Formats: sequence, C-alpha cells, structure tokens
Amino acid sequence: MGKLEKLQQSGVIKFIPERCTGCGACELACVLYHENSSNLALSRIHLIYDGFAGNHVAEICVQCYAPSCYYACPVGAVQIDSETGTTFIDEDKCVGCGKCVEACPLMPEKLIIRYKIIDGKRKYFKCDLCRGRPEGPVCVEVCPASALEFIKAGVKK
Amino acid sequence: MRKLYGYAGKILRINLANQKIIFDDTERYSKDFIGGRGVVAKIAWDELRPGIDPFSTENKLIIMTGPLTGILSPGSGRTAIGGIAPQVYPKPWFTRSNIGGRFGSELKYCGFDGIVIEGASDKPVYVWIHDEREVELINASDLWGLDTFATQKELAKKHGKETASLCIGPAGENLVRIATINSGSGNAAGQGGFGAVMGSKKLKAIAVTSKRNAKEKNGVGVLEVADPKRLIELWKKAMKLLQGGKALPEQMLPASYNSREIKYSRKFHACTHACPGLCVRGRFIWSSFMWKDLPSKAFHVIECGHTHCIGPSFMGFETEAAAPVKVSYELDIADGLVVKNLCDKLGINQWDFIGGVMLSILICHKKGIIDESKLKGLKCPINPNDPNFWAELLEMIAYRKGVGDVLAEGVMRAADKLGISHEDVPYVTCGFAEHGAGRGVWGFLEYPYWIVGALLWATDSRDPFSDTGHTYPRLVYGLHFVAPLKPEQLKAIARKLWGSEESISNDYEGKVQPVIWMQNRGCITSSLPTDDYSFPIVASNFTEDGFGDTSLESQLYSAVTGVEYTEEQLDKIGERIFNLERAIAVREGRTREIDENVIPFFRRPNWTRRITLDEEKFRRLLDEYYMARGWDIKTGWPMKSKLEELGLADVAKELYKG
Repeated sequence: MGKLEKLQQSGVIKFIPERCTGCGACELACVLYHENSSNLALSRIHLIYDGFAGNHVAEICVQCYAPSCYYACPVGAVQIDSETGTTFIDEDKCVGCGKCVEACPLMPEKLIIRYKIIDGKRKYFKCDLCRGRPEGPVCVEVCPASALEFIKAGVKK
Repeated sequence: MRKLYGYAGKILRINLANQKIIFDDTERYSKDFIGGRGVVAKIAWDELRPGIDPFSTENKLIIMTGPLTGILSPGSGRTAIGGIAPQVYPKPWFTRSNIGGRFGSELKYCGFDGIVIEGASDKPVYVWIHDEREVELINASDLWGLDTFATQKELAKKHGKETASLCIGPAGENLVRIATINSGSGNAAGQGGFGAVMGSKKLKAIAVTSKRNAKEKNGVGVLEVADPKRLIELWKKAMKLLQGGKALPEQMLPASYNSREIKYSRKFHACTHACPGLCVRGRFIWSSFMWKDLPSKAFHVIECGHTHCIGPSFMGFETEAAAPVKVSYELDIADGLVVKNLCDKLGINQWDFIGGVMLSILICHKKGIIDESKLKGLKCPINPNDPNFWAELLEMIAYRKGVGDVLAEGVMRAADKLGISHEDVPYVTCGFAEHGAGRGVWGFLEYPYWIVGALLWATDSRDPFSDTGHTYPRLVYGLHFVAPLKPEQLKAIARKLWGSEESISNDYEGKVQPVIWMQNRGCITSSLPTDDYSFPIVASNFTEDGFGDTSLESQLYSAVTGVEYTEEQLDKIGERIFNLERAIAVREGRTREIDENVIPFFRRPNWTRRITLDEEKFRRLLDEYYMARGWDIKTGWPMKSKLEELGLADVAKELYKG
C-alpha cells in the first residue's frame, strides 16, 4: 500500500455520447460475459437511460494511471495486470470492505465500482476491460452504434 | 433447484377488487407457449370466458414478457398485452397488442415474467413493483388526470429515475376505445384499446424499479442464460445481417430527413431495450423508394415517429382519380410532431386517430356529409393543415367533450351514432384503421400485394400489420433495408420461403403460403420476443445472395433457454399459438362468415390503380387457406385433428363438446 512503483499504462474505453442510442446492449453484453446471466445490477458499465430527453450517458472505469482503488485495497484484491496495465478486482481476494469505493475519485457521482453478494458476503467488481478476451471489451464489440471505442495504451485521449 | 434459463420464474397476479396478490409459476405456461403473446393467449383461453364486456370486472389485463426479454437479444425489450379489446367493432373480442420500452426488462429484473390484472379498483390506484418481488398497491389520486409523460416523471420522482412504467393518459381514464397504454416517450400498446381497460379498472400505472445495487449473484431477477458465448455471437450475426456489422460513424449522425425536400433532423434513439434501432435507419430508404412508381403523387404529411424518431406517413393523393375524394394533409413536419406528442401524452392511438378518425372526418367533410355544425363543441374550422384543429379534436376525444364523446367510441360506432353510412368512413374495418391494405394510410401498397393484406385481415382478430404482416411489404418493397433488393433476389427469397415466385407476383396465386408463414412466425416474434421491424430477417444487403437468416429466432431461443429447437420446431409452436387464438375466437362465435366481413372493405377501389377485390377469387383463396391450415372450409373452425396434432387436445375437447 502506498508504495510508488512503475506502472504499465492501460487502454481505456471511450464513450461518445452523440452516437449512443441508449439501447443498453453494452450493459447486457457485459453481464452476459462476466456473470453468464442478465441483470443490470451486475453490469460493469452503467448506462443512464433518458427516455424523454434522449441524452444517455454511460459510466465506466477510466482506468486511472496510478489508481486510488489499487492503493486503497488493504488485501491486494485490486490488482494491475502487469502486461496490459488494466486495473481489476480479484473476487476471491475481495473481503468486501469497500475501501476501493471510498478511494475512487469518480464515485459516488458516477457508478464505477459495485458489489454483488455471494454466500452473504460482499464482493466488489468493476470493469476489467474484459481481461483475457481476445476480441477485447465485449461492450465495444456489441455496440450497434459505435458509441464505444477502445483506445489502446499510448494513444489515450 | 433446476435453472430457469431465460425466465424470471413467476407471474404476478393482482386482484384489484380485494387487493389479493399471488405468484403463479411461469413454467405452467411457458413450456408449451414460450412467453409473450403465446402465454397471453393461453391465459385468455383458460380464464376469459366468451361474451365478457371489456369494461366489466371480469375482463383481465394480461401482460407478458418472453424468455429473451431483458437479455442481449435484438429488440427483446418488448411486452405482450392482451384481453377483451374494447376497440373491436361491432362486438369486442379477445385480441393482443404489444409494447416496447424498458418495462419488460425491468419487470423481469424484479423477478416477474408477467402480470395478470384482475377485478377493478373503486378508486385510482397504481402498482409499484420493486426490488425482489415486492409489490405494492398505491393510491393514485394525485396521478389521475395527468398525461402519460407527467405520470411517468412523477413515478420516477417517487421511486427513482430508473423506474420504468406502463401508464394511461386521460384517454384511458375516460374509456376512449382507441386509448393506448404508454411507456417512455414513444412506446404504446396501441391496438385493441387496452388503455381503456386499464382505465375501467381505475389502474393508472404499473411502475417497476429493479434494484441497481447489491444483487445476490444468483438471486431473484438475475436471469440465467444457457449459452452466453453463443448469444454474443448471435447478436453480432444479427448486426451483420441488418446493418453490415457495427454502424459506421456517419450512419449515426443525426438523421437528415430529406426525401421530398423536407429537411429535418433528430438524434437516433432506441425506444426499446436491446433494440439496435434499425427501424429508424431503414425508414430513409423506404421513404424515397416506395413512391417511385406510383401513378399519382403522395404526400408525406406527418412524421410517424415520436420524440426521438422520424419517418414518413401520409395520406391522400393529389389526383382525384385514385382516392375517392381528394384529401390532403400538408401539415408541416414540426406541427406533425406536436400532434404525435399530443397523441402520446393523452394516450390515444395515433394510427387510429390519423388513419381512422381524422381521415373519416375529412372524407365526410369533402363529401358534404358533415360540417362544423355536426361536430358539436368544435371551435376550429375543419382544416387538416391547421395543427390547432388536430389538437382540439384530440383533446375533445380524450376528455369526451362535445362530439369527442361520440368519436371516443371509435370511428365505426361514431358513424352509427351520427347516422353516417360505413361506406362514407371507408378506411376502417372491424374497428381498426386500415393498415397494409392498399387503401387509406397504406394506400401506396400496390396490387396484388394487398391481397396478402386482405387474407391477413380476414383471419386475424385485429389489424394484423403491426405484429404479423410487415415482413411481406418489407420484402416486396425492400423496406427497412439499406438498399432495395434486386428482383431476382426477391424471387429467390420467395421460392425459398414460400415455395414459389408466385407469392410475390401474379394475381391471387401463391398468396396463402406467405400469409400462414407470417402468421405463425408473428406468433413467435411476439412471444420470444424480438421486434417485428427487423425480424424475421428474410433478406440482407450484406450477404452475397441477398438471403437473411430466418433461423435466427430459433437460435436465439436455444442459446438463452438451452432448449434446442430448430426453425421448423419453433414455427410449429407458432402454429399452435395461432390456432389457440383462433380457438378463442371460435368460442367467441367467430366463423368463416365473420372472416368474410372484410370483403366489403376490399371491394373499395385501391388507391394506386383503382383495383377492387375479386370476390370469387378471394373466396377460393380463403378455401385454400382453410385447407392449408387444417380448418373446416365451411365454418372456419380448426379441425379436431389439427388441434390434437398441435398438442391442443384439451382445447379441441372443449370446442367440440357440444
């Protein structure tokens, strides 16, 4: 905790609001890929659907460089992929203390880190850019409107 | 416990009279009837005896999602609604409607696949469903009287911004027979007048708020999917067939609506959960393509979208030769949008208002049958180019003011009350405004394509076009596709789907096969559900041969539920559902004679070339249809053996008990 180290820079998912139609495919695909099921409470991308004004917003982890959640985690459940630089939470190690949520600079204004309950215990989860998926993040792949783009490390905008 | 792949597991039953709430097992119905429209029909068969008045406490409002709702499957956020429909003329019978939006998905995330509303409340109430199968009946006196937008905003204020609701506006409250149930800014269950059924039960809204945080991993409302990987691949496949993969950024730019030199732009918006929104993109093509060969100039009059979509809709031709009287609306598109928004807010079926009430008034006015003096209480002069006239009429209907009280009964009942012959309100039949029949709003549809329309109308319980018949004109005219298909591609598709090229050309030949195919498939489309604008994907601009993939529905169903069905097996279930609906109709007194009631409508000349229905040929077509269906050609009843073959032996037993 708190130690300074040289970190690998991560790619990031960029949301382009003017293209988003609010269909919700990103959330549905996210839950399907990560949880093999469907319920928006389990999505790692959070779509705020606006049925009247039509200005939909997607909230997703921005993959901070030197992420606060990583430094805040007391048990080393929040980790950084040494190869890709992606910050992710190891569910097995998570003890459900919620320090990562407190540390996240985007929360509580945005919904970035959520928890689910497994056997009565909280397990926090957040976007891991579909780590290990050869095609890259599933939300980007299924978006019918090209409203999500994956920006590789080094070309971060 | 065995996993319920795709389903939430329970159907909620609410009796508004004694406030009793019970949960029913979805599996009782879903095994044989899938979900949505199929389960609605099954519950109606079991529980709605014939002859029930739509506004009586015995009528039920049956609301059902399907196994794909709330899951990554194109257009799956739809919900089927059914019951005894007040819109039907002369005697209300059972029919169905369906609605897009996000209500169905949210309902399933709360642990319910459907809702059956029974009885009636004596004071305004709404139902709030939240978290994990929590159900509350709440006093709605503060919401009663509000329009549908305001109602939903109030509910979101009370219960959180993620709340999705079905609700009625003033029209539903005042039992207007063309009242809709609305959701969001542009979704409505339009057909049947079910808004008035909700109104008669004093049910203002059903609101659902699913828990957004802290979900149990395998808890209530977490929908299990049998084969997630396959489902993601199928989604990509559908995108590929429909739009060539991911939309290009330029395809997503605000739409420039410029066919016929009308410039208009709006942001694309998916009105329904998990809908890629192809209806919007496709419209630009059909607007410019459809009218190219017409002998007379058609007007685009009023945008047929809502707050977030646009598309052309028109009525009237400039030449008097085509239409019986020259009726033209030249409402500016922005004014049109105001009118459409008002329909949505008041909860009035825009289709029946524009193609039924308004068109009938204009025709009668041109013919000199009515004038302002006969339209009691109307302050505006009859002028279709003045949006104030439209707005005033809509308000009068919704609040049953002046002549609005009569028009609220629907065009045909209103004509009876005002002493106007049905020949003078020619574009309405069985209580529903023309659709896909080559006269009226769909006056552009050429002979012989509306022969298919005639057969669909004859054998259905409502305007069959918005959930059954779109496939055919879509194919013939290349609607909703990026570019029109070549004639030889169309012929090949017709051969493959319906066995012969005749089904898209030539006279009365070969028209039975597409009708039966679409009816069975329509039952599947609204039971899974998918959306009927894109599905079945019969053709594609992005395959070499122009074929789409009509097996996609069965693949989606199999991936979600883990029950492996082929396209043929699923179509057989569609046939079962259609026959069950027919059995309901037969029990209500439906016969071949009633089917033939649409003949006078089709005897009226078609709008493009003044062709009328050849009665003799059409009756032969009906013979052929009944035989292919396994229905008695004299009575129009499904034969006992047919029902038994479809696994409906109990239905056969009841139908043939006398």
